[in-house]
Amino acid sequence: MTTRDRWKDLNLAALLLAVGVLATTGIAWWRDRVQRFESPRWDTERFVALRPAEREAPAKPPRERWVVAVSLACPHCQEHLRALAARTASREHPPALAALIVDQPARPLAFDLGVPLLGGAWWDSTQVWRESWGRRAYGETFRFSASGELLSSTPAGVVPDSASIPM
Amino acid sequence: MNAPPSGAAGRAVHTDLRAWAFAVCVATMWFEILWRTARDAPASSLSPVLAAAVGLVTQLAFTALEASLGVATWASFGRQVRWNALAPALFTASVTEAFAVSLIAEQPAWPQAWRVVLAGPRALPEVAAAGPFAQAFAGLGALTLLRLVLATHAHASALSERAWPSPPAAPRWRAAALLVLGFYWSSRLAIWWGLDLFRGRSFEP
Repeated sequence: MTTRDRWKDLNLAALLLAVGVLATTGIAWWRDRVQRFESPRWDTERFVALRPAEREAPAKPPRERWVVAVSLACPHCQEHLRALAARTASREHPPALAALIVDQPARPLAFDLGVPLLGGAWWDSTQVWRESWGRRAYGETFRFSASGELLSSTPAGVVPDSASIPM
Repeated sequence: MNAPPSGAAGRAVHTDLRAWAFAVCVATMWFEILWRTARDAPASSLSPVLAAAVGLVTQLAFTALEASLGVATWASFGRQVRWNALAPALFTASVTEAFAVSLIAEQPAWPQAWRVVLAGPRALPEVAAAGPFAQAFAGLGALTLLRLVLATHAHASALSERAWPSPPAAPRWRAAALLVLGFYWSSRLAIWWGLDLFRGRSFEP
């Protein structure tokens, strides 16, 4: 086999590999898109409370709950949680900010997110976030109404109730 | 198909040298633009020189792969194209992309509308929050279109090199344009599907 033949074979192998990767990605994408997922809804019974949420005084109007999907291995999403806490702290009626610890197979024993959380910290022990809601981006912030209905979901770096304003 | 006349080999060497000289100039431009972009970016774990070197090597690797895929595709249609003729020409065509990167990253005092026309919607800050489809095609601007035209020219020239007499220009350009557009669409589809898989249903209502 000459050097030219070897290059020809290598080029052909690269082409076959590229076509294979494109086809595999396309099939994986199609299978993912036809899968049905639940619309997110905040239901405390589906998650394990690691830090309790603060109880609100009955006279106060009900507040929104902002839940950030946090991986303990992701400094970027923890930074987003802290930035969101700093951004909303000065509000007259701040939302109840909460952390949902995701993709964590074992119950986290000691962790420090570096911020007080009115909405508490929760462990997604049964992979609701990934498997039932179909979510995969860490730092995603869910804005739930006081009754648990989803109002919006936004990426890290965005203030949920003013999505056009980056932090 | 007949063999090219004598003297064609010497001309091919001369053309190759010229093509590689242009490619080296473009590589220098890429390095400078990437270095300046890395220097002005927020804190990164890589030094600007290392970040620029990694970016340039990645760009070279993708161009090498693109040329390999081009050679193999032409071969599957019974057409002979030399990798050495295609790779430097494709890399030279990427100079428009380097200009687009500098337009976005260095934020010169160009009006936003011009930047979007030239570099595509990726020049808008809002595109970071856009969906995977919009992100995959966010680079589609005049400079990308120009790169596609230059890449088509590279393929059409490489196609004529080994054939004697040289086939008519119109069918060569048509075939080359189809291949370049096919590669472009395939790469965008791969990015769209990959981003979509990566983020699942995140940010959907």
